[in-house]
Amino acid sequence: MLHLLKYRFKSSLRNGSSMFWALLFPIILGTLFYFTIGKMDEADFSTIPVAVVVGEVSQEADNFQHFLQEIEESDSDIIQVQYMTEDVAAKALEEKEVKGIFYTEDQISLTVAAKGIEESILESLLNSYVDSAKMMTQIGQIHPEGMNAAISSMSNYQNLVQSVSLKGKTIDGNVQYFYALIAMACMYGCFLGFDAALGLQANLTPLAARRCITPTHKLKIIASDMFGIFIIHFVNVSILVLYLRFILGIGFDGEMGKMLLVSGIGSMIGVSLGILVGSAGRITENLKVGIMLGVSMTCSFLSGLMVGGMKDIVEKHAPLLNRVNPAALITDAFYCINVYDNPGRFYRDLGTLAVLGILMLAGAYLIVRKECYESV
Amino acid sequence: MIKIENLVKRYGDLLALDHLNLEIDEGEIFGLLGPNGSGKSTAIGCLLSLLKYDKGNIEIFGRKMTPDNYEVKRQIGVILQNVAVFDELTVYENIDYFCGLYVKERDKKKQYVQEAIAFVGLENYEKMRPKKLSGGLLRRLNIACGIAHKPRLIIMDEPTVAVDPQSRNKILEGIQELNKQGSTIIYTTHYMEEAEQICSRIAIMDHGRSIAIGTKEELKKMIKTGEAITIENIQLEQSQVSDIRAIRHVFQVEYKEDVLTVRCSEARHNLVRILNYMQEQEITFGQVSSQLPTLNDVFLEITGKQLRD
Amino acid sequence: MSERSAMRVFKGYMKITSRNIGTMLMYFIIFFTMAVFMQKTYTSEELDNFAAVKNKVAIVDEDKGNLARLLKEYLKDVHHIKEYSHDEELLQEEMYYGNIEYIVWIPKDFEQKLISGEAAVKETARPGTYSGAYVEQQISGFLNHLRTYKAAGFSDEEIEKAIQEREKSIVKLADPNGNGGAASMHSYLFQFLPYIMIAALSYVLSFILAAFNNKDVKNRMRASAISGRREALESFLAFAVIGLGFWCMCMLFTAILYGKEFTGDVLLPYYLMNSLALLVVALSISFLVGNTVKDKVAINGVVNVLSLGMSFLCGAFIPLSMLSVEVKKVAVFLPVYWYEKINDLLSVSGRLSDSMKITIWKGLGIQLLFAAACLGVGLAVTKLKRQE
Repeated sequence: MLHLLKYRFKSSLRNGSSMFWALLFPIILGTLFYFTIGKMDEADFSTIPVAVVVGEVSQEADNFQHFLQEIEESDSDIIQVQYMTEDVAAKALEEKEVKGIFYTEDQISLTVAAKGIEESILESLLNSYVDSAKMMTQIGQIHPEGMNAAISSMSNYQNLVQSVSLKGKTIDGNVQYFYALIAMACMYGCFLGFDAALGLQANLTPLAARRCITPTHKLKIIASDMFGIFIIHFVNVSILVLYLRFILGIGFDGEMGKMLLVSGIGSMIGVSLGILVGSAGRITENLKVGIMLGVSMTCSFLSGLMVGGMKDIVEKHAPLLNRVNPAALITDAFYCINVYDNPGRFYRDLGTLAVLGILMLAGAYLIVRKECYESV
Repeated sequence: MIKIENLVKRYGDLLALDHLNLEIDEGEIFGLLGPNGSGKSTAIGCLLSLLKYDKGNIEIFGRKMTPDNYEVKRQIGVILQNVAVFDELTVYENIDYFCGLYVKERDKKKQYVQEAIAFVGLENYEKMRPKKLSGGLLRRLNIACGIAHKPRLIIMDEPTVAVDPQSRNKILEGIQELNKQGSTIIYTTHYMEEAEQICSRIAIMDHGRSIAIGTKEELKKMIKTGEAITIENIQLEQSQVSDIRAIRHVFQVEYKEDVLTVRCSEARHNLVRILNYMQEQEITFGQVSSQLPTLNDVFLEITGKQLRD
Repeated sequence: MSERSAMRVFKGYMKITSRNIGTMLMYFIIFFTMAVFMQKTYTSEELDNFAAVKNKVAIVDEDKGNLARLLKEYLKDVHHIKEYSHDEELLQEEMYYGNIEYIVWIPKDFEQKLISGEAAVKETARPGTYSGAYVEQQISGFLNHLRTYKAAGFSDEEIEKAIQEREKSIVKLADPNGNGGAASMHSYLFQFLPYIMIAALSYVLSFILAAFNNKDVKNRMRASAISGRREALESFLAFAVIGLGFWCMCMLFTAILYGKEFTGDVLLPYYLMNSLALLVVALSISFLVGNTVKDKVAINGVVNVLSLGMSFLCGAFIPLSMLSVEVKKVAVFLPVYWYEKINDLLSVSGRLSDSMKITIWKGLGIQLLFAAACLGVGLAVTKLKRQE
């Protein structure tokens, strides 16, 4: 058995480009993710350009312009004000050079061209002004004696909101991309499994035929091949996990041991899938590769690789899918380990993964162990 | 040693083996000769329990052959038509791998591997990978992998296809050497020259059955042709062709594109008689050759086809 | 050279393609389905990624007093709110999945804290979103107003009345593309097109190329009477045919899915041009990959990195507006960035101004330039290999 394993490792590890890409491409992707997604909370508001069209001169208009000036000059750098005529402003709005137009006539109004966050901020500024102005009027009418206290309060604008975090380890939703990435890396073990299958099925390659004629029990050959490939793939995935955790600093705050366990089972599923598809009968190699790609990418997609909330949507509309999609199970297990400790759910995920893995392994074995063929 | 009885194998509608019967004795080099598609490789596949067959009985070393008869498999060495080695392993590692599947003791295995490398003449290529070897050297590696464990029975399925003449000769010599060392060899080929050169007994196959079995001499005696005389560049009239046909011991005459082929049964002076006729008729001609019957002639007479088209 | 041998290479490609048509169709279906899913996700769920105006706010009210109620009613006006009990695990999960983006905790001593000017409410915002600061500012503003009313001597009822009398500010929406300021649905699908095109075409074409680049086949072709240039030309033609076929399928399905909205879009020609430019980019990438990478696993790795990586970096999955400045600095060199930039412009516009058109032509040009560069490199590699 050791003899078989030794050569399995040698043979696989020397397959230079395969090894290189199997290991490297998830790492490259992970790094890319890190720079695009991981840095997202550092993305700042860019200053919002806004136009002001001055209508008739009035007290109201004056107050408002004063208000805008104060905001522009404050540290927050939220807006940048440009004074324009109506036509110029309208054109600027259409060409997206400004995000909104304040018309300062008798009544202040805002015109925007889209419904984005920047437009919402402009609206909120306007609301703030309008509300404050109204409030002053009301105080003057109803409790004029409290005007001084009111003004004092207003100029003493307090931050009345305090930030806290939830009890869980992290609520950074962006981590789910990385979980999905690890899940995809696990599934991609199918390519290694595919190659192994070619070397095991006598009706697929001459090398396999020769191995089938030897006096070594087919079971031993299969076991050693599967095991060897699994180890190699598991090492690849572990390197990925460790890279993400320790070099990129992604928030995997949970136990690394558990994460590696989940990765291990995931790797086994990926490899078994490859062996299963690789050993299948009368379809072309290209189609087999296509099937493997299709299955692994679809599983990865449904577990939230490209669109973060996809898993949640699947949960709402077709929860059964999430219970059998290996990628979804893996990401869910990671979530349980790292985000909120929920042992019940974690073991359920792990159990399902293990069952899936065993089923695929068994299926792969049953196909591959055939000793006699219709034709070679 | 090996018995194949009434072996039948179908691929769908195609009957690949049609009640094949063969018996091979220990110590001989047994040739399976036949054109492409005659069922040689299929027979080998069934013999090794790689292929399922529909009917029949196969025994090796007196025991029924099944896929899990590992005792028997341990004593067989196989060299199939296609090169079957690991691309990523070196020459040494490949031979070591396959030998290790048969021989468990480490020292013994090491010795066998060294001997196999020396046997096929790949000492200078031990550390090279298959991609770097030429076709002939690859075949040698293929053979080394199959015989390193010194098997009792060696099965070779067309091992010299697409091999340069120098390598081919070396291979044939090697096979004879292995036989001398005690291995029984089953050798399939569609090159009659090879069969004639090394095989002690030959079975000629066509359409899934053996149509003739015996030593070279026995086979040649099965046919009428004792001698085949070829005369080139000759102009003949139809009457002259008939005359030649009537000469003693001539039983077949073929005249096509200025080439005359005369088949005579075994007798002395066949050539003299024909040349005398030419002289009498004052017929001029080009090259003359006389050949003893070949296996191709055997095949031709029995089936009406050439061994190689 | 006779007419018959003239198109032999082209025919060869077509033959291999037809044999692999099942695989191609499968790729198309899978990727296109993914794209449709993604589009439905974005438009129906109003994911935070797209900076919806109304955020999903959770409120945990442990005070249940009058002022707390006023706060809740105010928030109801401006956001989607949902009340929760103090169940941290549930809130955790909701936030993780993006069902809520902001949690407002109203403690028992809300009113006292408010009057005394201390932090009266606690908040938890979902990281990686803009909305946190925005909502915080709104709440703080409102609470300060409450505080001011209180300071001026208003009673709870008076405050309530005063707040009800507040007027909404006037905000008008200029509606350039008739979608009420929202992007058209098919523009979402077009946003994801780069991933579909690059991945599907690269996989398919690199496998076909691999068949042609098989050493023996290649040598046989080299020995034939067909010149290298001719061979390259015919293979381009084959690629173009395959690529166009794929593109037509994409457009056809888009038309089927979105009907009049798509076919009647004033900017349809620009959408088509943009996607054609993208097609050329995808084809050139496939050409480059297919000619340089041999191993199956390697092709897979390279195609994945290229398609997924570029799609992430350039705004195919996460919109450009959400990406940081540093990322955009890098993305600017990639053709997909320009594709997305054009797509964004088209999605919310009804009429194109001159400066917009300039941006579009610039973007198209850059895509084609990139494609030409890829092609050039690919050809150079082929030539080098020939000489080996």
